[in-house]
Parts: sequence; structure tokens; C-alpha cells
Amino acid sequence: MSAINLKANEVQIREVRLGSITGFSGKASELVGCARKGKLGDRGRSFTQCLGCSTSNAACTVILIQDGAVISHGPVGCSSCFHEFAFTYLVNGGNRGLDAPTQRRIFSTNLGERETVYGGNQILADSIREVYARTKAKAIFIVTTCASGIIGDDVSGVADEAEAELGVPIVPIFCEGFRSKIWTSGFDAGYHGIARKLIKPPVNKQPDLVNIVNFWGADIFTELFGRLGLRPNYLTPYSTVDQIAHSSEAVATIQICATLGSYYGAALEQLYGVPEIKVSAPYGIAQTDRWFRELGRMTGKEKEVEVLLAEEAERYLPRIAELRERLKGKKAHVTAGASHGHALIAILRELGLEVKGASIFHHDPLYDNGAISADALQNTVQDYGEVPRYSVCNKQEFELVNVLNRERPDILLARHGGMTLWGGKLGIPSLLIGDEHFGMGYKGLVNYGEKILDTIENDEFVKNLARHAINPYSSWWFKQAPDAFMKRGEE
Amino acid sequence: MGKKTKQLAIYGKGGIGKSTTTSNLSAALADMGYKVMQFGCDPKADSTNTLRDGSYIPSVLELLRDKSNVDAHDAIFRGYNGIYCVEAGGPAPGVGCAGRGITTAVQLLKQQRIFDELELDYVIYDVLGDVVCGGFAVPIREGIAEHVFTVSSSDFMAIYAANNLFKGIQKYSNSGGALLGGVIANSINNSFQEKIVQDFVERTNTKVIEVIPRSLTVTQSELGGKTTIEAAPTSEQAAVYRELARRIDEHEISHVPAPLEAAELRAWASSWADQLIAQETGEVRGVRASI
Repeated sequence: MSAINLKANEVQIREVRLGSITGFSGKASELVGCARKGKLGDRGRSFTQCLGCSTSNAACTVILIQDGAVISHGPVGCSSCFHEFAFTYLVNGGNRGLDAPTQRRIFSTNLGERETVYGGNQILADSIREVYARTKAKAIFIVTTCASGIIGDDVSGVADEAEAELGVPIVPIFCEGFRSKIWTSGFDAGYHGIARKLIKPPVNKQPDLVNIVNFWGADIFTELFGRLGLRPNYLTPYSTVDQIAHSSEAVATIQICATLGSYYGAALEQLYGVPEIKVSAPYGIAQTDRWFRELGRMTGKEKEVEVLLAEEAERYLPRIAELRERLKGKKAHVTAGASHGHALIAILRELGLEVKGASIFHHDPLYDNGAISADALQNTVQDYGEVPRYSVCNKQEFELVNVLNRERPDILLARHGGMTLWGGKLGIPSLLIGDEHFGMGYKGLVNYGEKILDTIENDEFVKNLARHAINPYSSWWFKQAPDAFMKRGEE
Repeated sequence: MGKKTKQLAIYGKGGIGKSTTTSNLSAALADMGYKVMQFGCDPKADSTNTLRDGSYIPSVLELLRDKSNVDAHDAIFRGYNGIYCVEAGGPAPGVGCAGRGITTAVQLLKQQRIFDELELDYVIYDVLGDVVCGGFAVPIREGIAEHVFTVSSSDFMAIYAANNLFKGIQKYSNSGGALLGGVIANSINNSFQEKIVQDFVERTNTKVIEVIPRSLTVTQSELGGKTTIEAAPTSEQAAVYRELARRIDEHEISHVPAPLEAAELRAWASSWADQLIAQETGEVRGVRASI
């Protein structure tokens, strides 16, 4: 278990804190088997294409907070991903009860040569005041960059001074890209800042409030939890600063994607005694039943949970059985971030598909709570069996293309924009679902099953595309093993 | 936890005797029964040598060069009288970023809660002379050292460096950073030199915490790889270091200094230079001129 240390400005990076890795190629069971036998070996690569930056993941945790504002302290290019989260906020607002989502308040100090040489403290101090004057935000987040980190700007000092003057939390988030090669370290950096500055000690415990650390999935929990007499507190996208402050008053914290909310959940449990659910998220029937029962136990709603599960089973199992019949024997490949990728594998297996392989961006052998019962890959393998070609691919598209060309699955399932096009170019029906709640519970299996069927049956577009697509990779590359550029031993 | 650790940072011009003074201070505090850590913040990584019979220890950044996951305990070595010795280290001269190196090294120990775990009475940062970039100011920022002591001789370049440091302290003082405890006047051989330092501290709103004479005992001890406290514990020089330790131990409240502006400092220096020349040439001035 990693100890939450709010005294330090910076969170420890994920590879150090959790022993996470970005390079593996083998069977899923091998990776699970190695997980707690010392430190996982990370293979490293002699060639890679570009990949994400922690800044983006840190921005993801704060830009969608309704009444916050975000300043990137660095050259303006370091904030070039911010607009994606502003777009996400606008288009998904309706799913979360925001009929008129406001423009996101995103800024950059636009560090130039001059500030890099003479120091960026002043421009940051001025920017905070300017942003506050313009937005009257309830909290201002400062996302650091490589430039500010290397020149050693005193971001914490400047933030504290402005906080004393303005009377709203000014939250520094230390997510310099050079610190970690695992971009999800940015999530941890964001939540570390939030835990230091926003979460308040509980005043009145709210026994029906359950924290949900998630992205921007549609609100399915108000209805589901309503049947249990519970209320969801979605964190942090679409939440308010006040909601975050009171998250310490909840009865429990649940994870939609443990690789996202690992640090937030552990911080609430260690600092304020809010227990975190320590089983995998409710994807697939086995995990859905286990997860709801654990939630029932934690909130004293055991009976209500049994009723809910019985109702859901009765309502959806017949349709799930039909879908299984039609999908039986189809082959699939999954590409996604760590824990959500494991969820997608569970969904596919539950629907009777064969998961030939998975290209998962990184791997956490454990999460911050240290619970073996929370290991999502372990649970998926135990519940549904082997994934024969399991690769930790660091979002390296050249490896994905190589694997897809070998496997030629009936469907490619992805979670991130830009990944399905490789399936499309090879004529493989490909499905991208951005809403992480879409596949949850019994209903989620029906949702996915119908979408997958629809995608497989309507393959004319990808077949056509494949006929006309120009493949950027040479035939030489397709003859190499997908992990040919991974090093043999540990990096 | 629970125990309040007193955190000090020692700054001053390169070659002025910071590491010598710091190591003797650490040794004297350890002799007083305190648990002390000396944290060298210089890429040369030689701050703690005389606490360990002249031997070098692997620095935090040397360890980080080999592997990304470093247990901070691997960078902590015991020296004279149990003093915990740590060297931040840094890149080779002319490459990389030594300032970022200090940030990284200090954060590594903070993240692993080493200062709490060891229940230290004192952490003393011995920092490279010139605060050339943001990284070298890390030890005087909020939550690291509370008191800064500057080592300076009466040499004008040393005083310039001290004045520059005062500017840094003034800058960070508003945001909860360290404040100035005083100046340790080093290599002082005569009362004239002492007067120069004294005049400077009065003008900059601080004080001399101890006057340390230049001494062969120090050189002899260091050549033997030891502090004066260890090598010549009964010497006069050791007594001076013990007095320094006692005064620092009693020191409670530090202040914001009032550094001189560049023009002021030049004018001040040239007034002393005139007196210096007068003394060297035997010119008689002041009251005696009328005798």
C-alpha cells in the first residue's frame, strides 16, 4: 500500500509508487502470476512512436470541474490538449444533468524565452490574479510543465501567497512530463493537489453518499443507487469544488476505473477513513454481482442489493442469452488503458466472444490501496480465463497494427480516439465507446452486445476503406514479431 | 513524528568555508546529543567528507542515474557521532541541470518521509555558494529550511554573494520561506575584518552569530579527513565551533534581511576600500590625524 503524504508538493510517480510498467508481451496469466513476486520487469523499447504526457491526464482531473479554472504554467504548446477536455465537457454535459454547460476556463502563462531565463514566478502570480478577476473561479488549478519544473519556479509559494490574498484555493499540480514515462502519473498528480488543497475534513457524515471517481460517463448511478437508497457523488468531472471538499463525508468510494481513481480513493481512506471498494468495477456478471454485494456490505444495503441484482438479472439475462448465441465464437481484440481494458475483456468474454489479444497501455501490479482483491487483470483472468496474447503496449500504434494484422479479429474494441482507425484500415469492424458507464452491470452487457453485433454486421464501410487505404507500414514490419522492438531484459 | 525538527540552510560564496563550517557545526551539535542530518546540496557531493574520514558517499542523483526507484535509505550514510550524511550530487560540470537535481533529491527524501522517520533534531542543508537558479533556492522555500545562515569572510566578493542571498530570502519571505538567522563571519584574522562584516550586517538588518578565525588546526584536521571537532576536540578552534553550535541551538527567531541595492553596495564597499588602502599604506586618519 502506498502511504499518502500530503507534506510533499509532488506525488511520487507511478512507476516508483506502484511499480507500474509500460512494456510486456506474453499471456495475461503470466503477468498476473508475476504481479506480487517482487518488482515487475519493464522491458523498455529500442524504438517508440510518440505517446501521451502526464500534463494531459492531470488536466483531465481538473478541467471539467464546473466552477474551477485551470492555468498551464509553461509554454503555450503544453496546454494544447486542454481544448479536448473543454470539448468533452460541452458534449457530455447533457448526460450529467448540465443542460447548458459553460465554456471551460483554461489558460496558459505562455512562458517564453524571457520568463524561462528570468524566472516565471511573476507571470504566474499575475496570471492567477487575472484569471481570478475574469472568472471568479471557486478554485484555480496550476498545471506545471517541463519548463517551469526545470527552471525551478516556486509554484507552491506563489500559489500560497495568491490563496491568502484571494481567499480561494490555488492548487498546484506537479505533473512535469519528464518525471514519469507513465502518463497516468498525471491522474495521481491531479488528485494529490486536490487532496492537499480541496478535500476538507468531514463535518457531517452522509451515510447515503457514495463517491464515484470517474470520467464523463452518463449518469446511470442516480437510478441504480436510488433503488438502494444511496446517492452518487461523481468526482471530479462535472463536480463542484464544494462537492469535492465534502467527498470526505461519503460512506464509501467506488472506482469506475481503478487506474484513474486509485490515488483519490486511497487518499480519502487514509486521511478521512472513507472506505474504498476493493473489488473490480461492475463489468461482466461475475464482477457486477461481486461489486454490488461489496457495496451493499459497505453501506449496510445487503438486502436491497440482492433485490436489485435479481431484478436486473430477470430483466436482462434473456436478452444477454440471445446475444451470446449470436456472438458465440467471434474473435475480438481490445485496446484501452489498464483497468478499463480489463473491464472490456470481461464484457467480451461474458458475451461469449473469444478475446485473442489485448493491447493495454500500461500495467499497475497493484493500486494505491494495496488490495490484491482489487487487481483488475487478476480478477478478469480468474473469472473468464486466459488472454493468450496480452501486450502492455504503451499506446504504441505500430505494435497494435502488427498484432491486428496477425489476429484479424471479427471486432476491435477501443476506448481511446484514434485507435480504431487501424482496425478500419485493415477492414476489421471497430468500435469505440467513450462512455465508460455504457458497459456496466447487466444492462451494459446488452448495450455492448447490441453495438458489437451492429458493428460486425455492418462491415461494408471498413471493407471498402481497407480496399482503398494506404498502409504506412512496410511488409517487412508485418513479418516481425509485434514485440520486436521491446528489449529482452529489463530496461 | 511529533518531534519538531529544526531545519537550517547554510549558504555563502563558493570556497568560503561553508562545508567546513557546516560539518563542524553538525559535529558539535551531535556532541551535544542531537540527532543531526547534514544534506550537501552541491553537485561536487563533498560536503560531508570530513564527517566520514574523507570518504565520498554515493549521492542521491548518482543512485537515481542507475535506477529510477531509489530507496532514500540507500543514500543515507552515518558519519561522525552518528550524523546522517546525504549528498544530493548532480550532473557533471557543464551539462544537465544541477538546480533540477537539487529539487529532485530533496523531493525524494520528502516523499519518503525520511525526516519524520529518523526523528531528527537538526537537518542542515549545505548549499552551493551562488543561488544561480530556482533549484538552488529550494532549501529556503516553504516547508524545507526555516533558518538560513550565511557564511562570509570580509572579502567583498563574499559579501556580494551574501547580499545576493539576502535578496533571495527577501523574495521568498512573503510566501512562508526561510528567514535569515545571521551571518557566520569566517576566516577573520583581525578586528578590521570583523568590523567590515559587522558594518555590513548592521546595514542589512541582521547580526553576526559567531566570528570564526582562520586557523591552521582546521587545515590540519581537514587534511586528515576530519572535522576540527573530531581531530582536535580540545583546541581553541573547536571551542569556537562549539560556541557557534550553542548559539545556533539557542537561536529561535529569524528575520527578513534588508539587502543593499547594487549601487548602495558598491558605494559601501568603496568606502571600506579607502580605509583598507589607508591602513595598508600607513596613512593616518580620523582622530589620530590631529595628534
